[in-house]
Amino acid sequence: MAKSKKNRQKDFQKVKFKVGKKLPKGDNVTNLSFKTRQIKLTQRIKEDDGQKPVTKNKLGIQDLLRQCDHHSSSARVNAVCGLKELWLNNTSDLLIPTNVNGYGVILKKLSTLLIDNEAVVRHTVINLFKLILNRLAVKSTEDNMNRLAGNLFTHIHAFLCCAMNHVHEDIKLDALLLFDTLLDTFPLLMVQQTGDLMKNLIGLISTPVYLGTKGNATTQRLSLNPDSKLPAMKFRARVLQRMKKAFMEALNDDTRKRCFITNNLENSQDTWSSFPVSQARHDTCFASQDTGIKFSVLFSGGCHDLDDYITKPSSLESFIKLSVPVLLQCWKEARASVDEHSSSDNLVPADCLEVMSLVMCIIQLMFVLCSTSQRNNSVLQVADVPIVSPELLVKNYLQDFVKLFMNNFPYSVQVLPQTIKKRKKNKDSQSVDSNINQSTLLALNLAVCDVMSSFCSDLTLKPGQTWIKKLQGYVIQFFQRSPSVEQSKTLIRVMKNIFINPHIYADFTKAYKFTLKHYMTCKKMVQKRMFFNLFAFMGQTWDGWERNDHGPQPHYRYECNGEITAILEEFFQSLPGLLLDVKNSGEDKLWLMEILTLMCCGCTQRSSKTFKAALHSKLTEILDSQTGIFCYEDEQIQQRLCFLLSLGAPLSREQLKQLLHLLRHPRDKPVILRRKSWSIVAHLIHGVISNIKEQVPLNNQVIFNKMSQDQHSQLSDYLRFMFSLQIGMIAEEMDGFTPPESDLSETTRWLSFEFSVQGDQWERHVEIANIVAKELANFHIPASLSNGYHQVFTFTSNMEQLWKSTLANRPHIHILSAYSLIKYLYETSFPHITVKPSTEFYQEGSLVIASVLSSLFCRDVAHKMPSEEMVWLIKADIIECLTMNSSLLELVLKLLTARSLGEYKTSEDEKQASKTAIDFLYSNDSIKSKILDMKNMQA
Amino acid sequence: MAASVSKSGNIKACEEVIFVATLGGEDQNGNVSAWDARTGNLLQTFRNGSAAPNSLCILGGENFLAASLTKPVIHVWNMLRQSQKHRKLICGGKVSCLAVTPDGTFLAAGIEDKIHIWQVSTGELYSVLSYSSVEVKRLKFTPTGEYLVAGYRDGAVTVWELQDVLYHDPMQVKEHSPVNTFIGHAGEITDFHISLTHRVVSSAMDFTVRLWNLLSKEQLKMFELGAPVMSVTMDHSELALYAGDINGNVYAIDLHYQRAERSVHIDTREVNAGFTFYAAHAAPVRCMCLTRDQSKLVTGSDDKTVKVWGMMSAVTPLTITLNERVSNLMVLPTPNALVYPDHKPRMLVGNLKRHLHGTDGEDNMEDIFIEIRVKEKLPPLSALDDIDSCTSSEGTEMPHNPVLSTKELESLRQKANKLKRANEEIYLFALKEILK
Repeated sequence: MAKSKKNRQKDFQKVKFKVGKKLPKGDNVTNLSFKTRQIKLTQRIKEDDGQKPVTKNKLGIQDLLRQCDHHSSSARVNAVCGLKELWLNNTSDLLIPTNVNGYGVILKKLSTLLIDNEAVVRHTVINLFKLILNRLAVKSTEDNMNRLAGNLFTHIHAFLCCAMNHVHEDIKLDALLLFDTLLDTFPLLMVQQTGDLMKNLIGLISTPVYLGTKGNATTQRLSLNPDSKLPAMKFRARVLQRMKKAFMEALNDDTRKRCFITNNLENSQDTWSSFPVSQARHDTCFASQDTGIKFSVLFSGGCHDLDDYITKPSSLESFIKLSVPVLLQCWKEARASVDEHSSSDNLVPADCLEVMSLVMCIIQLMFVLCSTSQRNNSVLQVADVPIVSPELLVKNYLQDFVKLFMNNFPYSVQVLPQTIKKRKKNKDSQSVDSNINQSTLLALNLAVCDVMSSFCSDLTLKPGQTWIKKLQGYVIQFFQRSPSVEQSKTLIRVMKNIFINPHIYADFTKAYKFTLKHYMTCKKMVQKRMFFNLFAFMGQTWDGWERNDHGPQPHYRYECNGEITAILEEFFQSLPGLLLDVKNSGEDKLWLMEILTLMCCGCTQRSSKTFKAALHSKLTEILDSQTGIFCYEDEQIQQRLCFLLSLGAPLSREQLKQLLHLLRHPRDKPVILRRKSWSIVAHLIHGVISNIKEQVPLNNQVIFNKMSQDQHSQLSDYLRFMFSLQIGMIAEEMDGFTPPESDLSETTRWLSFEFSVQGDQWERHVEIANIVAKELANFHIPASLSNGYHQVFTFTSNMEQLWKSTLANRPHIHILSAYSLIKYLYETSFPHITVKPSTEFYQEGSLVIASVLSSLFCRDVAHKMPSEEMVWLIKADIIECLTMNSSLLELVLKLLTARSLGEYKTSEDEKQASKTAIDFLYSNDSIKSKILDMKNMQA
Repeated sequence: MAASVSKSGNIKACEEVIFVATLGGEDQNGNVSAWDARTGNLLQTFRNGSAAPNSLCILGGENFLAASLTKPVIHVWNMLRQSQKHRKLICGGKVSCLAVTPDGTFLAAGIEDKIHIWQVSTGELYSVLSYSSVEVKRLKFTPTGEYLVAGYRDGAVTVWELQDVLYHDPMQVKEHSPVNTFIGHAGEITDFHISLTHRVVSSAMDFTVRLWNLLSKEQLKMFELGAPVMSVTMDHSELALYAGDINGNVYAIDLHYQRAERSVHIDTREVNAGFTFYAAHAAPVRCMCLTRDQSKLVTGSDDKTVKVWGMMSAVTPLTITLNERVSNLMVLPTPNALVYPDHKPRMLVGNLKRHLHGTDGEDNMEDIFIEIRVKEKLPPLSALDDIDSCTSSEGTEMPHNPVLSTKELESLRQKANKLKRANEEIYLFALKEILK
């Protein structure tokens, strides 16, 4: 029992707890502890619904854009990379501008990342920018402006400015990278909506003192950043490079836009129908083209807050005011270091030279931009209002510039190459580098020339002789080195600027001589064209006079400047040759037009004798029917050429024959073009007419009778030319066509006609006959009683003789000749023509008319006629002619009646034809009344 | 010497006069004549002398100027001194064209490639302008006289600002240059017309008429006609353009037809709402003018006729037949000088000098005066009598002031005398009494 008690006790034994000891845990305690583990979701795995484009990680645009704002830099980089991936894969989708998540959103987001603190992010962003912008720019050339324009560009622009003004230098430099990209891809936008970008660029290298209380431009100074990683010179060079680039684009742009517009106009002149729609909107009378273009720019994205574009006069002017002092400071600092070095160890740090040349280039470009015309949209650009007037530039900068640049101008020419040479000796390995230096040196010197010459374009400037001489010396030296295309462009600008100033160009005669020499020997067409433009400008504005300032009476003494005249004469003489060269080398039409215009100018100038001689010697080639200029099937060129011919270079007999040939051959499609009512044919004939009036004095009998042998022969050649036009072929052809028959009895004479014509030969001839008949009939020299000339002089008797000799002994002639005769008779029968043809000629004429009439009504001829129109025209003209001239009518009636009665052994058919012809005449009311009148008179 | 063909009463009755110059020989009579625009009657002829094309102009309502066709001479006929022989002004070279400012102060002549500008009253040569060495063919002043427009043989047209060009710079730093040049034409300029709003229409041998603004290079519109255009004019309201071509056709073109097109081609063979044309003459239409009320068009041609066309219908125009080709045409309201040929001439015409004004070493600027003719306002009829009485009685001092009549003058004089006397008395009194 006790055991069980014990056991019982054991079971219920009191557990003793001791203070300080841990309470043992009970057996039935549930272990509530647990362990935790983190699970990281580095990316969300999303179901691809196949609708929207996603990256490899299945992220859409929305997600990526959101991640761009992520606080972790690596996430941002990843997001940008994801965007890049999307862009590369789905460009076409993103390019649609209406797409909600298109490129616009991406660019906006990216631009906010420009001021990111992490260099990695910025670089990836800029890379992506480059990618997108390049793609956008390439896609379409016409409307690429629209792709960035408006809101989007404003956005980018704002962040770019922000980045440029950032405290961190790295961000500034990165901003420059984007600036470059934008300039490369969207130059037009950058130029049109520059805003503050340029000012910010200046701000990068100078402290903005101009914002302070002392605010005037002179207090501004260059900034030096001691913390900078780059040497100051390098940094400046980088910034300056951007500025240069921007200005270059601005200039480039101008020209491009101009070309675009002029091309448009050219097209519109060619064809009536294809007129550009955009221009058709405006009423041409009242809205000029400029406004239209301005509007379209505004409409497609120019926004008002960015209206501050470079080419705007006021902003450019203020920018020049702001930047020139800074630039000059840059130059001075660079120069200072050069001087030190050159005196000590002859080393020129490359970046100093670079900065110097960059400074010069920027000033040069700014000045060039100043002088480009303000209205860059107008059609004809010769001398418009410049953006900033040269007077202003002269007033502000001439003195400084002369002091700074010109004192050392020969120095920099002579010493700098030397120093480079010495350097070459020291370090042969760097010869490549010195080559670069050499070219920048050339650029620097040229830029100095350019800048200084741009002062010359201010007419009031009368500069000191010394620096002008230095300039000339350098220019001449340059020409001997055969300049490249880009360099010659600058040189031409220099020469042009100097030519504009009447006080200076005389000092430059020698340089012009060299220029001409260079032009003459120049082989490359591009370069040749540029120099051609220079001389064209000179030729068109040169009046052969020069003001003499040195005489005792200094006012307005004009002297003939022989030297420049001689240069220009030589240039003009080379033009005919050039014309042929250009034609053969297949250059564009515009140049041909320019040459022709200039030749017209040369023909009318005072010193035109030598030019005319040169033209005369080349004229045969120019008029050649196979290779000549007329073969260029273009109305405008042919028209210009006709104008040139009219200006009085003497035409030889052979050349007139060539012209005749051109007018009519090949038969089916003659060389000289003809449109329905406005044709080169008329141009050419009027040209020859005014040409002869130039050669031979035809308005006064006294002088007319004193003319030389040459003039006589010219006049007779001219008459032959006109006559050949009338008969429709040259004499040899006529002989081949209808050889004259010797034995032809006078009494039975009756003519038969050849009616066959080809192509537009008939219409052409009608036009020619009208013009020629009108001219020949109307021409006269009034009598001059006091000088003993009682007779009015006309060509009538000469024409009579020519017609007689042609018609004599020919039984068969072409209808073209007959038609011309009818026209001529019609024109001479006007009351104001004082000298009428003789009765013999009327008899001849009446024979032709009667023959024509009867053969028109002859049955077997009727089906030979090519067209009904032709018959009607001939009939109508005959009626018109006979109504005007009653004596002719009488003769014609006599002949026809005699023939209808069978007096000349005529066949029955012919009799019948004559009868119908008489009936036809009687059927016309006016002729009928005329005949009645005549009968009454006789009665 | 010039024979007055009709009575002066006739001349008074006519409102407008057509002055015609022809290309007759130098010695021929009636090279310059005046005709009634309404009836076509001959009013007057001016003897001797010839008129080259584009050279006839009127000076101050009394004189005619015209350049000789063959000699370096400008003929001057005075309408007032008709008994005298006309004057000849000799210039440095053959004059190809002439123009006078609307107020008659300056005379511009194209001699070869230069434009000479003289002051009419003194004959001082104020300026010689040259643009290039191409011959000048046509000169005109704008209706306000502000600008001078010149057409050249190579198709260029230049615009000069008169004020600018006359300014004689003693330092002579600046060469004069045109304010605008228009070089759209590809043929000799034959004619141009300048409207009141400074729009220019120019015609040339290149078959075209071009419309442009005086101070811009941009071509507003071009019309292509089928032949060389010899003359052109435009109405004041700039609604219609009139052009005459070498074949004697006259075109009336609606300027607002096809307003969007920059170049309009005119084909006479097609019926078109944009223009009408008439075969007006049988020879080139050399010159054309509109009458003042723009209701009639006057055309002169090589077929020796001048025709006056009513705008309402082209049927039976008034025809004036001359005995030579027409070279110049002018339509003017009847000048006073023609009506009252006995008046004293007012215009001074100096002999034209060859050297530029101020270059002959004499710097006596006080000699130079500029006479600007201001049209006198006609006094109201009632005032006329007063003036007559005044001028007859009172002499030089204040002839036109009716406030001071003779009576008042008399009383004033008396008062003055009284004061003098009083003064004298005071003086004497002082001498006697005070200075004793």
